[in-house]
Formats: sequence, C-alpha cells, structure tokens
Amino acid sequence: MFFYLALPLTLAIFFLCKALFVRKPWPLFHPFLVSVSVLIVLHLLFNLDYQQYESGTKILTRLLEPAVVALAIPLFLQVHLIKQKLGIILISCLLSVVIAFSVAFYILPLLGADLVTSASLAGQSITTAIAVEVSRSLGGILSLTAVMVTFAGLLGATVGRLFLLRVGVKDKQAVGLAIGCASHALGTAKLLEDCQEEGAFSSLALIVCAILSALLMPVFYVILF
Amino acid sequence: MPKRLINCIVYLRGFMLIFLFLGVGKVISAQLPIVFPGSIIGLMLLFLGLTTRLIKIDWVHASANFTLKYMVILFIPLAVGLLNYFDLLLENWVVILFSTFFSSFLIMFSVGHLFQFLNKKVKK
Repeated sequence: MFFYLALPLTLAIFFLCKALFVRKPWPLFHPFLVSVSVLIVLHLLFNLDYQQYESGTKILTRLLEPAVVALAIPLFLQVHLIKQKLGIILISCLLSVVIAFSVAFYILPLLGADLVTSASLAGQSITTAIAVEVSRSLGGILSLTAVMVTFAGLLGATVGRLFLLRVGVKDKQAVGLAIGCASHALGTAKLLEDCQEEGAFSSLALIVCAILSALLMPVFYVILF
Repeated sequence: MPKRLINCIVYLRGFMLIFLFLGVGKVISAQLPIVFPGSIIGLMLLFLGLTTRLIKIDWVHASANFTLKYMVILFIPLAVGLLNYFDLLLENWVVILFSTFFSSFLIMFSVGHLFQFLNKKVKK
C-alpha cells in the first residue's frame, strides 16, 4: 500500500515546503531540508517501511542520471567565459578537489572517521548527482553523502559571501568560483539572486569541480589506498 | 498547430535528446576499464555536441531548465534513506560537523584567494 503512496506523498510534501519557503525564505526552511525531515519523522512516527518507500520512489533516483546530462546546457551557456580563463579556472577547481580529498582521507581519520565515512564525505562539496557517483565508486554510504552535500551547500549559501568578504576576497569572479567549489548548486542559486557575474562563475565552478572529482578522486583513491 | 502542442513537442524532443546522450554515455562507460559514471560521459558528449553546433541549444534548453529547476526533488529519497544510518550519524557527529565547516571554509578561502591572485595577473 505504502509503495503506491510514496511518490505522491514525496511530491506533495516537497511542493508544500516550497510554498512555505516562498513566504518565509529563511535558509533553514530550505524545501529540501524540510521535506527530508518531515518524511523521516513520518517514517519514525508511523513505523513506515523504508524498503517500500525506496522502491516506490525509485523513479526519482533513476532520473538523477539524465539530470546530470542536462548540466551540459548551463556549461555551454558559459562557454565564452570558459575560453577566456580556462587555465586559472582549472587550477582553482583542481585545488578545491585536492583539498576536499585530503581533508576527507587525511584529517577526518584523525578525528576517528573510518574509511567508509571518509569516502562518503570526500564529495560533499560537489553537486549531489555526481557526489553520489563518486561516493559509490569510493565505497561510501550514498545517503550520508546526499545529506553532507546539503549541509555544505546551505553553509555556502547562507554565510559564504560574508565569510569571503571578511577574509579579503573581493573579486566578484573569485567569490563566485569559491562558492561554486564549496557549495555547488545551492550556493550558485543564492548568488544568482543577486549577481549574474558571480552566479555564472559559480555554476562554472560547480560543473568543473564535479567533472574533476569524478575523474580524479577514484584515481587518487586507487593510487593512495 | 496550437501553441501548447508545439511546446509539448519541444520539451519531448529535449528530453529524448538528453536520454539519447545518457544512453550513449552508459554504453561507453560499460566498455571502460575504470569505474566512471556514464551520466558524466553523456554530459561531456552533449557539451561537445553543443559547441560543435551539431545539437542546437534551442532543442534542449527548455527541457534542461525544467530538469535543473526541479533537480532537488530527485535527492529526497536518498536523503530519507539516512534514517537507516542514525547510529552512524551519532557515532560520527564530530567528524560530520568538522567536515561541513572546516572543509567548506578551507575550500572557499583557498580557492577565493588563489583565483583572485591569478585573475589579477591575467588582467595585467
């Protein structure tokens, strides 16, 4: 029974949360965060079977793949910017990927993380669809990755620009690139509300970082572990 | 033809192209000796198609915008799956909190300054 309700329930909750967010656009009311919390609470309250929920919503998870392909369109729309500054964009994004990988696999174990947790957290700064693929290829836990990506995104979307100004990053393109590297689509969406130039560089960074992570992280992992 | 029908066809064509590129990406991915997601190969091929003008941006623009606008819904079931890992979360809350803040701020700080520095050099 719950199998058939899972998909309509998810959609209904999401659009209700979205309506709430339009009225009260506080970062903590982000529709994704609220929908997930509501669904988890419902599962716990009514002792629902997650297996049934998972198979009932399988179509959504399957659609992630074509959604990744669709990222080619915003990338193409930025193509004139890429051509101009390809070199320094690549170097900056490469630095971001190396930092994410090093923190996950060299610093987190000092705090007691095991290899599976590190693998789940290595891709936290890239867009979920690709973070999940990276996590899968490193042997991480996909659910944990999906939530960590949201945390990183919300952090950059809420305090990212303020933080960057505080530490002396004033170049608009640099702000965009930094937030795109750390907070992927959520950060990008926030920047696009105020400044097209920042937003353009942010979406560029999110795509380049995602591709670099997908290409490099499994290779790093095989070489180093 | 009524406008609505034309719109439907435009969206359908876009989605079909996206799925076509995904399919090709998956076929290539299956032949590769390493694990590399077919969706990303599809992304790169579609990007290549667009830059070489083999695929017109108008063919896929509307469908892609629609997809990206509602992409976040697709992650909900995955994140709800977290309820199977409460033990793991409780056990690792220090790591999770640290990773969220330290990793994100370190990336923003380093990338921001590096790009700002390099960008000044390029402009000169």
